[in-house]
Amino acid sequence: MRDREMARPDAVGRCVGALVDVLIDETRPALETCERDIVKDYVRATLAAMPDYFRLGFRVLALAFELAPLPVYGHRFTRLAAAEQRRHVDAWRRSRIGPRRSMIALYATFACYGLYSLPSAQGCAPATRIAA
Amino acid sequence: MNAGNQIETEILVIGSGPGGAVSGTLFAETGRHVTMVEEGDHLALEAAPHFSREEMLLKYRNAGVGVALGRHKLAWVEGRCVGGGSEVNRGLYHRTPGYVLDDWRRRFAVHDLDLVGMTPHFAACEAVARVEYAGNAASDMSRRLQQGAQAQGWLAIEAPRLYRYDHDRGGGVKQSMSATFVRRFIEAGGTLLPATRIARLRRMNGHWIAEGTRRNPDGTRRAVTFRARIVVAACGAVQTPALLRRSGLSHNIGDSLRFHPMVKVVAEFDRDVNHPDDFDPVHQVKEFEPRFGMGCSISTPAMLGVALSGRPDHWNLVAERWRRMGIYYVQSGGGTASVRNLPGFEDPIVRVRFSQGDLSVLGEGLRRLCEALFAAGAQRIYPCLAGYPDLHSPGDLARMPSVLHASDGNMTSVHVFSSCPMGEDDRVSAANSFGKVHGADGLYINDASLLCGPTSVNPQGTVMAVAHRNAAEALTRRFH
Ligand SMILES: Cc1cc2nc3c(=O)[nH]c(=O)nc-3n(C[C@H](O)[C@H](O)[C@H](O)COP(=O)(O)OP(=O)(O)OC[C@H]3O[C@@H](n4cnc5c(N)ncnc54)[C@H](O)[C@@H]3O)c2cc1C
Repeated sequence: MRDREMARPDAVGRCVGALVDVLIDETRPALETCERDIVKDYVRATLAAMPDYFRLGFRVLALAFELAPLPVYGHRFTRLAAAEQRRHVDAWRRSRIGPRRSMIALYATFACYGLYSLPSAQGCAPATRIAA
Repeated sequence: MNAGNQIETEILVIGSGPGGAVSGTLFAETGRHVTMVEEGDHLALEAAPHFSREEMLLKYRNAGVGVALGRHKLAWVEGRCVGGGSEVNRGLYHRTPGYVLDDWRRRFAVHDLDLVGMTPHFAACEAVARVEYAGNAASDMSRRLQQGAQAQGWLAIEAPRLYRYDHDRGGGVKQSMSATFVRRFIEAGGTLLPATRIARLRRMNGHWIAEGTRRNPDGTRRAVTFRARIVVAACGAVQTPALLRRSGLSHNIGDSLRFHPMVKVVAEFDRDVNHPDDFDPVHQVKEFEPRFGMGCSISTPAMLGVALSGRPDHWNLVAERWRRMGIYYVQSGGGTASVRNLPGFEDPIVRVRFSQGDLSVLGEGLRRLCEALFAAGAQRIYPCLAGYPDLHSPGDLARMPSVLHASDGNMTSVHVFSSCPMGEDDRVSAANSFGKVHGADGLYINDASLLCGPTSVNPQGTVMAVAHRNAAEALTRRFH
């Protein structure tokens, strides 16, 4: 069931994927697509496994995030150009509305953890024993 | 005696973490017919690298997302697999300090609880799950904290771990529950059912009926029911009260959850202190316990990345300097939380409250931690708290607020307990001095929920020894 969700993300999954792309671009713009996909799958898997009431809340927030640019840019988030996507993420990150900030903070934390856990980041990474 | 999805057993242990695994093993070894169910999977220790993304998804409850809501939120994590938290933790080990047991005995009227009485139970657990010191093998990053504390004239020690070090070849074997007690449980004839979650309990004709589901390999679930004379709830300090409350039991259940809330800093030294093959850090500062304690965290590049993620250019910072960096924490016993079920949802909600006093203890602890790290040679300290400035010298400590300013996600915890305290004073306790739930025949709690308050030291040793003590007592009393 979860594997299928990973393979063909729904509207929320696609929005989360696009958001994670923007977050990755902030630190690793040159990251390969296949590695981006690993990070996105990890973040989506985390969303799928989080407590059910948070999951519901974060799904609703993701839909609101997806649709919020419509009045301003005439397109939903996933259809915006890269620069507009960045501006939209920034606006939510700095928003006065707590849940908007919390949403970006949560995805930023998990995207960051996913990013640093990539095999290509492991040049500096733990071998098998550091956390024995 | 099983008919379809109806399973008959004498004793049903729910949860296979330190509390459940120790209880189940004792019962099985005395010839009782015991079934131990566990919501998570039965996975090898090496199923995922320790503290990795894969481990979060495989072995942690809710993939590591747990947030206690309140004005100051607290993020916490728990294990969810055979062995519970012992599979994912570092196994830092302590016997409970005598003053903690004395305090519980007095405030909750717990019978027969003191260090002398507990000693054989600690020893019995340590004979199965071995406890060892790293000694010379401890990492530089870990030693730095001890050196800094000693330079300040403070007491700092090396904590032993539930771990068997291989000093010749490096590495070693983690003494988690799956590697120790759960094995003995199975050898003694106990039945372990992983991927099985109990949703609620009800009483029928002098027996407990436990209703739940088993997860099939494809992720679908099928209903399963157990009928048992004795039930031991050992689901951990959040899930045990959630299960009991779903089952209509609420007297002092889920009203007093406690944590060891923790805040972290990253310290950067003038030379390498963090090496890929290092053992997990083990040094701790004891000088200020029980108000607050300090230690060194797992400091992989991934953990450093998350710790520094609020800083611009964190990627380059970590890539260039991670070997010179370590993550250190201060933790207290402040804050009180409740556990409640929400209609229509499976996961319980936790609400936490911190007093000004709690936050000023952490504020002071944070300052002391930075003092020790500067004394240990730190060149720069990055507090993992939004809005806190980077510190370049002890003089900068004056710029830190004396009361902790913590925003979302800055306060974390890996230790949860005390949601169903034990004791004879039923105005404050949920179960008697040995874990038998007040007013419920044949129903026991035997996990971290029972502890009457913070242990101030790492709690797993206490959870195991208390579980051992209570299980032995139940056998002696023949569950009456
Ligand atoms: C990352 C981390 C690091 C830690 N580090 C240390 C350390 O170094 N030293 C130390 O002393 N302590 C440490 N701890 C804490 C320690 O692991 C816990 O105190 C201990 O595991 C608590 O044991 P428990 O039996 O109460 O609960 P748990 O270990 O949480 O076990 C409960 C089990 O019950 C299962 N369960 C829950 N609900 C149900 C249900 N309804 N049906 C079936 N099964 C269910 C859960 O899946 C879980 O496996 C750490 C914990 C974590 C998470």
